[in-house]
Amino acid sequence: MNCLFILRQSPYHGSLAREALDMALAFAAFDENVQLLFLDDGIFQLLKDQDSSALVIKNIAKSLAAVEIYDINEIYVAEECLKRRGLRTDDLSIAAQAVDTRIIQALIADADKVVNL
Amino acid sequence: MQLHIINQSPYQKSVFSQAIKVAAAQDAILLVDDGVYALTGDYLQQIKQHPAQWLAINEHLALRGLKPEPGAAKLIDFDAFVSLSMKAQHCLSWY
Repeated sequence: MNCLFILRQSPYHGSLAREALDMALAFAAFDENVQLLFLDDGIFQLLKDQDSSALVIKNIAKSLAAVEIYDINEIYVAEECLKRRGLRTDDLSIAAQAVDTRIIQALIADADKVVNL
Repeated sequence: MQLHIINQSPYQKSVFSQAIKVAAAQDAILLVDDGVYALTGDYLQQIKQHPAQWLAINEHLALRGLKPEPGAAKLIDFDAFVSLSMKAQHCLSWY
C-alpha cells in the first residue's frame, strides 16, 4: 500500500510534527510503502544543524535521520515553499527531491492513503 | 520603548505583518519560538527595512538550525529578555 504523509508543521510548535513523523515510521515498520512530502513550514523540520542542547527538547532531526533505516526512500519537498523561505535542497539534513505543484497533485492522486498533518 | 513579542511563524500566521505595522521606530521587536522563522526569505527583507530594533532568542534559533545573516537581529539569551521586558513601557505579545 502506498501511504503519502504530507508534513506541514514546523518542528517545535507543539507536538504535531513529531507525532506525524512517528506515525509515518510506524507505517514503515509494518512494511507499507511510505512517502514523505514536506510542505509549507514542514520544510523547516529538514534544516541542518538543529541544536537542542540548550533546551529540554527532543531534536527532530535525529528522528528524521532514521527514515533510511525504515526504508523510506521517497522524500519530497515542495519547491515553491523552499524558494519562499530562501532555502535550497543543500540546506536540508536528508536528501529530498524538490517537486512542483503538478507532481504534488500526482503524488496525492497515486497514493492509496494520504495523511495530511 | 514598547517591546513587541512575536512567537509564530510568519508563513503560517499573519501576526508578523500585523505587528510590524504597529511597531514604531523606537520600539523593540523580539522574535521567540517559531517567530524566529521570520529571519528567512522575504520576511528577512521586511525586517531589514523596518526601523525598529530587532532581536531574537539565540537558543530558539539554534534549536531550529537557523543561522541568520549577521546584523539582521541582535541575538539575546533569556536573561537579556527579562531585562528588556523590565525596560519596556509595555510588553505586547502578538497572537
